[in-house]
Amino acid sequence: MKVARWQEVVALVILLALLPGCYGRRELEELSLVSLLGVDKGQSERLLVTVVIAVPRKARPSPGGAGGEGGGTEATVVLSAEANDILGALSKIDRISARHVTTMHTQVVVIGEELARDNVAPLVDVFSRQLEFRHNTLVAVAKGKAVDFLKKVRSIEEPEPSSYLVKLLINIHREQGTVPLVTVHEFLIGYSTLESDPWAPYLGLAAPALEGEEVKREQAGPEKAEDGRTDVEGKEQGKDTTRPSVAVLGSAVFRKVGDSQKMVGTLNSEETMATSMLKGDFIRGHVHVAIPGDPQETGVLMFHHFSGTPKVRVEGNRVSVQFKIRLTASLVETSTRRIDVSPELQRGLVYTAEDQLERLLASTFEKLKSTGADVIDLGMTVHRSFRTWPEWQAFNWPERFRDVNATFDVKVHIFTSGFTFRPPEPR
Amino acid sequence: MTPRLSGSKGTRARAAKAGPSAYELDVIKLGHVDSRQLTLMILYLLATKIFLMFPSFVTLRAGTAAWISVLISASIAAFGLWGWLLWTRSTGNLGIIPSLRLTLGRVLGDIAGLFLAVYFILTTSLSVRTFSGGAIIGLLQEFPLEILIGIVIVAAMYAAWLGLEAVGRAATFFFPLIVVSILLVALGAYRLFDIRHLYPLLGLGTGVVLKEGLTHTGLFASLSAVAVLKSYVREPRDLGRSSFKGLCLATVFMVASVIVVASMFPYPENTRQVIPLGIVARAVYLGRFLQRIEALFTFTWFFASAVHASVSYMMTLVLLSQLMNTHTYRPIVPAVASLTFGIAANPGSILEAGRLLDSVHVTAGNIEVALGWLLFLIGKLGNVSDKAARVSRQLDRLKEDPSYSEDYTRAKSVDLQRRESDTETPNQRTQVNAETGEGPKGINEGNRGGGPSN
Repeated sequence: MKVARWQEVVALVILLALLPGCYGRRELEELSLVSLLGVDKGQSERLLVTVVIAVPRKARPSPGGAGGEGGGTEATVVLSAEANDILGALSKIDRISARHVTTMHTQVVVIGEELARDNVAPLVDVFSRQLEFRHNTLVAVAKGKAVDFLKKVRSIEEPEPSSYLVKLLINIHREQGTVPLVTVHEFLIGYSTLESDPWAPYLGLAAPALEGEEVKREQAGPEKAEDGRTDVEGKEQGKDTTRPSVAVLGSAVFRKVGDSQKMVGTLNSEETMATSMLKGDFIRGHVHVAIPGDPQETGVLMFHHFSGTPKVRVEGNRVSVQFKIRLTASLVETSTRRIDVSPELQRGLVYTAEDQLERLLASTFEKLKSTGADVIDLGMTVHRSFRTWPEWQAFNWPERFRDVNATFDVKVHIFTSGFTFRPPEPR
Repeated sequence: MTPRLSGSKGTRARAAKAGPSAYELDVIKLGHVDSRQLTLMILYLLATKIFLMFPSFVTLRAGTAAWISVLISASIAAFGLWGWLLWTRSTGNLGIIPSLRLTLGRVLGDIAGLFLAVYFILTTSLSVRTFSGGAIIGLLQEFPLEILIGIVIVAAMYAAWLGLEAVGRAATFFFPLIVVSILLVALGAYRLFDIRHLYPLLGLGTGVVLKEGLTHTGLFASLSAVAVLKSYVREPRDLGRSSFKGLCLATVFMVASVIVVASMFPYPENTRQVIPLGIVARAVYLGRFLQRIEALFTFTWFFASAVHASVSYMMTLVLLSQLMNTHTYRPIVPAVASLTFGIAANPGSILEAGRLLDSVHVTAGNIEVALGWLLFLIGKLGNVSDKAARVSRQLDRLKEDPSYSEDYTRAKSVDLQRRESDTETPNQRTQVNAETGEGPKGINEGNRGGGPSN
């Protein structure tokens, strides 16, 4: 059958009308983009959900450009609502927002500590079920309430708080290793598997600036918003709003208790670094080590390369593990004025660093065992010794983890002590 | 049953005496596919399910050893394919329905042909439904499901309407795009990849894995397509090699999809995912400016599903047209499209559609894999290869006639003219009988609508 040219044209016009994929579209200017999402335990209802909504037209750097208490920065609006579930709360927020609130661009979800210690279950389902929530969103736990934390997140370097928070976490994770970088995907895997437990960065608010640090704002006058209303939220003349507001405290660890997955402890920055090493995802960082022969003074060892592998042995119900940790480092600073770089000093430094790291790793591992949270994914290695899943399940790893016998084989290679042999001497 | 011919009662009576013509014996003309196209068409038929729930379902049943169970199924399916190829070879260059009739007799042969057609209709409909449901979950939340099903069916049907060669070319054209985008997704999500998630190696246990591998051989059931397509392969000698290549490629894709999903979502987390590869694509993040690449994946998904549906439609249309002796499949296209739309729109949810599709694979699929060997053994006992050879020789002889035409309309009119003139030269029928050693009844029973396409 021959198709006439006009029939082809008609078919083409109909297809062009039907197929551009604009069905159910939403224009960008009709959307409120949630950049940070906070979830707390509610008072009247199950959850208190807080959203930090980016206001792109205001997201340009301005002198002293951060806002203040209670309202986020100029580039954001902070709104909260209580409901039994996240989408319920978001729909309540939707009712007071001029635009449709969408979480498609949420960068970080911040869990309030109280909710984290109770049960994080209400949070995780929507992230694996709903189109607007994404697996690559970062997860963090806020000391205290997430709503208070989100209201105060600010930095003059980044006009948008989510951008600040993401960069802060990535930077510290990569450069210091003292905070984990955990996405919803990784959190979910820890949440729902037998052989690992989730963890997340533990964040707080930085201490207020000291008096001497106060910076007076030159342009503290309230700006007029586009609709003529005065945007006074959070601006207090004379207050230091240039100081970044977030303090990275370390990490929060979770495990299943009864039917709930809950936060069972925290690790400080050093312990978090050690945990990253045990987990095998440490990138770089530094430690302060005592100078051999002068224990009052310290040197800073910067780690450059890292390799960490656990070697597991399972005998009956007993699990022994040897963590093989290899690091390269350089001596980048000393506080003493009385050292001369020599092979002996290098060996002494290596010995001290290895000993110090070993003790740190051992104490961190003991702490993890005491909380029962296998955030280092040791179970992932242990279950390789089992042939079938039923055997592995019967082994009851969450209980066995507490009895794991661990040894640490740490080797540090200091390959440089910097540009000089000796510190400068005053003459 | 003699095909209904136009003309007066006297003409039809004379035609019945004249014996079978090339028009009656020949298969519907669809053009030819080369070996590469055949390989890819089999690959699409077997492996497109990786974009649906296949990785989740197989992992749910076999645990971390799901990939081993797929390998077991593939090995059994390869054995099944061997059976189909042996039977195909024994029936010479006859079409699938004439071959079935020759092997099983008219009634059972038609029932077997109908079974295959129903299998293809069900798998096409439910795959389209699952694909559309996945697209709505993962991309177009507010898009009406029925319209999306309709779009996929129209796109696939249009290719099928254009013919086998168009479907073959579409399969070849989209294949590199699909492979590249799958690789991009898999490589883009490399950070989530952890090989340790594949342990314990034997999953839910050796017995469970073996049983799963055995009972889900039906996942490879569309292999019967080789018997449908054998009449349209440019180089019939390559049929076996091309179809095994298709099976091997499909196995690689299916095993790889299960491994990728299992290594990114450890068991049992991976059993929760409705469209696991879609979720993997959503999890890809390569920095601020390279994310959301599921948009790319969705196109791939659509191409693969549409090509799969069009190949599957082609199989259905060939089977139905041969069953009905219509010598053309186009009048059936709207009916098959409506039928698949109705079946696709019927399940209440994507999960229901996925489960139904799985049931079709486990029940009808397993029967289909085993059917090749059954047909071959029955054919061996019934000496089908000799009968088929005689019919083929007869058709070849008829094709040598200068009036022979591959064009359906012309062939039909030539046939009528020949029959008219045969009343004046009735010795042709005698010649045919002398050649085949059989009367017209036997030939008609075994070969109506069959024969080579060349």
